[in-house]
Order: sequence, then C-alpha cells, then structure tokens
Amino acid sequence: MKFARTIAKNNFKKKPLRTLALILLVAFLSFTAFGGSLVILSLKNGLDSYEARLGADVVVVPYQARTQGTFESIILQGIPGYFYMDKSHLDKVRAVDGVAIASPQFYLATVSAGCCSVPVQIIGFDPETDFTIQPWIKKSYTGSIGEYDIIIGADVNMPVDGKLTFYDKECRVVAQLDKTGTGLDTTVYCNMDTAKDLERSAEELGFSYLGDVPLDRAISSVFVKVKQGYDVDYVTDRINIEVRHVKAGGAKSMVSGVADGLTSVSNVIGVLIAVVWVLCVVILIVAFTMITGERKKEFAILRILGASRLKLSLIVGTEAALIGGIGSLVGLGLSLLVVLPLGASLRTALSLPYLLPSVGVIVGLALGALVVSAVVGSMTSLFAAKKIAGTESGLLIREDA
Amino acid sequence: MHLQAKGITKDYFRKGRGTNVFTALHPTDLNVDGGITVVVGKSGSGKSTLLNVLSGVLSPTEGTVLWDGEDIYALSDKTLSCLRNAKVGIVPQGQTGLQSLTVKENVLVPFYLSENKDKQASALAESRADELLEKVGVSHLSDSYPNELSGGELRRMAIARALLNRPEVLFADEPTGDLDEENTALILRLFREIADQGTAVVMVTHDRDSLSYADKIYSMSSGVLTVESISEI
Ligand SMILES: Nc1ncnc2c1ncn2[C@@H]1O[C@H](COP(=O)(O)OP(=O)(O)OP(=O)(O)O)[C@@H](O)[C@H]1O
Ligand SMILES: [Mg+2]
Repeated sequence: MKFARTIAKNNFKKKPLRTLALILLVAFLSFTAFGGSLVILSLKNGLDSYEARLGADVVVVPYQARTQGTFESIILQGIPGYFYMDKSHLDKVRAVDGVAIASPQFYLATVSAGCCSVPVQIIGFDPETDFTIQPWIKKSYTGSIGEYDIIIGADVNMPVDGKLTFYDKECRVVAQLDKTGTGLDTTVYCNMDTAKDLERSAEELGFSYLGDVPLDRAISSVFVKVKQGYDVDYVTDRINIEVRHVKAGGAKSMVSGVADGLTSVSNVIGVLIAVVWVLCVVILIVAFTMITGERKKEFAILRILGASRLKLSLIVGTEAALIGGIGSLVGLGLSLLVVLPLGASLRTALSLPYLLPSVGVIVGLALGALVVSAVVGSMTSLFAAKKIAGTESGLLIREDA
Repeated sequence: MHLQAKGITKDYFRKGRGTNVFTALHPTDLNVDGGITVVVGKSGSGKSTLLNVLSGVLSPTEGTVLWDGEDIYALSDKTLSCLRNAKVGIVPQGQTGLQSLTVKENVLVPFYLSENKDKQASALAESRADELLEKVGVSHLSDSYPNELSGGELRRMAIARALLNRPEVLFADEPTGDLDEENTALILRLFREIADQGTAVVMVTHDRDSLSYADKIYSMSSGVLTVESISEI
C-alpha cells in the first residue's frame, strides 16, 4: 500500500536517530545469523577438505607419535614435528590381510635458524607408492619432481620457481597447492630422497632428530589404502595386532577428534546466535511497543478517518518491514566485511580446519539469513500493532503522547 | 443521512479507589436528519463521549446507533471503517495533525485511506484539498508541517480534512475552540454552507456565537442530554 509506505518514509525522515537504532538492531540479527553460520559451515568445509586431503583409509605411526598427538598437530595445526620408526614396519603392514597399498612418508621439521629460510613441516613421500599426495600435486603441477624440487602449501610465501633453503640445501619451488584450511597449507612436500638428503644435512649441522633409527631405514608414517570389500576397522585392528610398536588409526577416527572440536565450537556459536537473537527480538518488541505507544494518537486519527484495524496493522507492519529489510541488508554487509577477512585468524584461534564454502553456498546462506532476519525483525512489531488495533479509537485519541 | 441513537449509554471503567464504573452518558435518544445540531455543556459533562459514540469510534455500553437504519456497531470493523471514511467527517477534540505529513497531505489522508487508485479521482482530491484549505484560510501553509502551525490553524486543517470526502454527516468537537472571532465566523459560515447543501452538522461547543447558527440546540449536563431549542429548518 502506497500510503503506508509514504507514512513510513515520512516517519523515518522525522525520526532518523530512532530509525537508525532500529535498523542496527535488526542488522545484529542478520549479522549473527549469517556470520555465525558462515563460520560453522567453513569449519565443516575445512573438515571435509582435510579428510579428502588425508586421502588414506588407515594411517600408521609409531606408537609414541600417536599417543602424544604429534601426528594431528603436524597435519592439522601445521606445527612442525617429526618421529621415526624402522622401515621393517612398512613390510609388516604390507603383509597384513586387506592392505591394498601401503606408502611411507618421511617427516622433517625445519628451524628458524640461519640454515633454513622458514620453519615449516617437510613431508617426503615415496613417488612409487604414494596415493595421497601426488593426486593433489597433479592438480597444480604435472611435471616430474626431481631431487631438491619442492611443492609448497598454499600459505607458504614463495612464488613458483623461487628458492627455499633448508639445512643449507637450496630447493626449487615447482608448484603450490590449493588451500585446505589446515596445517597442510604450511607444509612443504618433496620426494623421499630429497627429504632424506635434507635430514642428512641437518644431522651434519648438528641437529639430531633420528635417535637410534638409521637414516636409510627411517620412515615416519605409513598411509594405507584398504582392499575393496574390506572393512577399514577390521584392517586397522589387524595392523594393531600384527605389527608391534605402531599405532594404526582409521583416518576418519583421527578426524573425529577434529570433528568433536568442531561440534563444540559450532555449539558455542549456536548458543551465541541464540542469545543475540533473543536479546534483539526482546529489545525490538519493546522498542516497537514504545514507539507505537508514543504514536497512539496518530493511529487513533488514522482510525477515525477511516482506516480499518487491518490497514492500521499494515501501516505499522510496513514500517517494520522496511526497517527489517534495510537492517538485514546492513547486517549482511557488515558480516561479510568482518567474517571474510577474519577467516585466517579464526583458524589459528580455533586451531580447526577452516575453509570458506563456495560462492553459491555463501549466496544461499546470505539470502536465507536476509529473509529470516527481515521477517523476524518485522514480526516484532506485531504485538504493538495488535494492541493499537485492538483499542477503540474513541479511547485511543484521548491518550496523548 | 439519517442518524438515530436509541437508548445509548456509556460507562467508563476508572482505575483507582472506590466505585470504578463511571457513567458518562445516561440513556439518550437522538435523531439528526440535517441542519446544524449544536451540543453545549460544561466541561466533563459527556459531550465528547456522545459525539464519539454517534460518529462510530466508541461503542456504547448500551443502545444502538443507526446510520440510515443500519446498526453501525453490529457491522464488521472493515465495513464500519469504510462507511466512516466515505460518509462521515470527524473533527476530533484536540490537536490531531499527523506530524510526519505536510498540511496538504494531512488533508488528503481520508482520500489515501479510501484506496481509490484512480488517477482522475486523485487529481480531483488534490484540487478539493486546495480548495478546502483556501476556504478555511490556511492555503498558504499547505507545505508546512503540523508542528509549524498555530492551534487555530491546526483546527482549521482538521476541518478541511473532515470535509475532503464530502461527508453526509460532519461531527465536530469544539471546532472553533482555538479560533478568534473572525475565523470562528468563517468556519461557522462554512458549516452553514455545507448544511444548506445537505450535510448534517453535529457540533460540540462552548462558544455562544455558534448558537445563532444552530438549527437545534441540546445541552448536556452530567451525562444527560436535554433539548434547549429547535428552530424551523
Ligand atoms: N477513558 C475514560 N475513562 C474514564 N473516564 C473517562 C474516560 N473518558 C472520559 N471520561 C470521563 O467521562 C466524563 C465525560 O468526558 P467527556 O470527554 O465526554 O467530557 P466533555 O463534555 O467532552 O468535556 P470537555 O468539554 O472538557 O471536552 C468526564 O468526567 C471524564 O472524566
Ligand atoms: Mg470534550
């Protein structure tokens, strides 16, 4: 109704401050709804990509590494670390019933001393058997990976063809991987030979990582693909029973620790959203009631001049809907401004994988948040409208503001 | 329009100590067919209450109000609102400008509320608004806002507004309350003019000058309405 809009607009013009305050309140609604769910979705998305990048059914690490959680902190938070076991374990794992492929990886942490450009995690893979890392590398690099060629994660700051020095050995960056939102983004990949050469160089420089495992026999972990038709849990159990001094874990179960963290963070965000919503809705209801109370006489005049109850509610509703619409848009814009740039620091703060969903999903989420907060924002005026419309105009007009 | 009130009363419920039912209007019968009907009486005697009940904005505790034989308080809110918009003009007591609209927009509110989307009707309403503002002598304030007007100017704006849709009955609660002699005469002459054209005028006043324009005079005292004089129409 055009008249309702005219009344609303004129009213806004007369009370710019109040209108602004109401718009901000509604903006809070869409801000939290959109920002909060975007964070939750990004966490979930990060978890999915982490799972995908891990790419194995079972991961076997030395017993100690598993119990101390070193593996997770390397993979997830990108905290450089290392642990080693003898190569003989690889053969034992290969012999276990249900194991289709078993590929070793070699981990090496670099340091912030002069011999290394940056402290990062180096992961050496076996080009012959690797099935988890090379498919990812192929996405950005199809050439061969020679000695001292490295592939860097998305967050390592170095252009392709740049040089990075680790333990006084110069390495050439041949490719950079896509973002995963996990510790893998600060990891440097190379083949097993390069990794071992770097390790040797480190030992020569006086770093001793290996302990009593001889370098040519050292591996850090074994990534296992299970034969088709075999149950992952069954194979995991077989490895744990048949191979001593190692701990096999389903890759999914390693992720489950992350998933638990994710659930609790999501819950906290959910509660925050709920609290903000309840508060804002209550304040909005009170505000609209007060404002309509102030304008009782105005509404009484409209009634006397022939506005039905329904039309009066429409006039109140139109104002609220305008506020709801504008406020939701403002909140949406604000949360885009805040949540998008804050992604990286959120990830470190929560130490959980964090990856923004696709543009389509973000747009859908934005539209959803927009509609819900606009509708809820406008609905808060219903109480006030009902009260005003329910009072006889002959009485209402006596109630001076 | 034939206006008939049968046995109408109005009780108010007062908050506070003692008896909390207050009868502002004792059983009253009234007929209005045309001309100018004036109700006089002391402050608090129930004049506004009577006018509100008659004009369809306050339901009586008992009794019925008939407009052309139709019991208006038995109608749906929508129908009654439409009737009020189309057939009745009301000048309420007190200041009743909508603060967010200009004077001219205020006068046009009854047209806006009629939901007539016709372009021609809209143009007609605009020129009628101009004409009425001219008649009540505030046309120079068309584009001002109510808070920029004096009390008397606002009253006259409200009168113009009440007349916009060419009502069959005009209810005016102290329409000349804030006016000087000259403007009082202007308004009363206007009322006389529309009454002669067929609009029934029912007005409440304290102003003795109005009485000379009246066709019927009632006086109200403690909620009881009595006839003072009836001149030949
Ligand atoms: N909503 C209400 N609740 C309780 N009492 C009311 C209410 N409205 C009016 N009254 C009482 O009813 C009586 C009549 O009121 P009304 O407004 O009709 O008087 P009036 O004759 O128009 O007075 P005035 O000349 O001052 O306008 C008054 O005593 C008033 O106190
Ligand atoms: Mg009165």
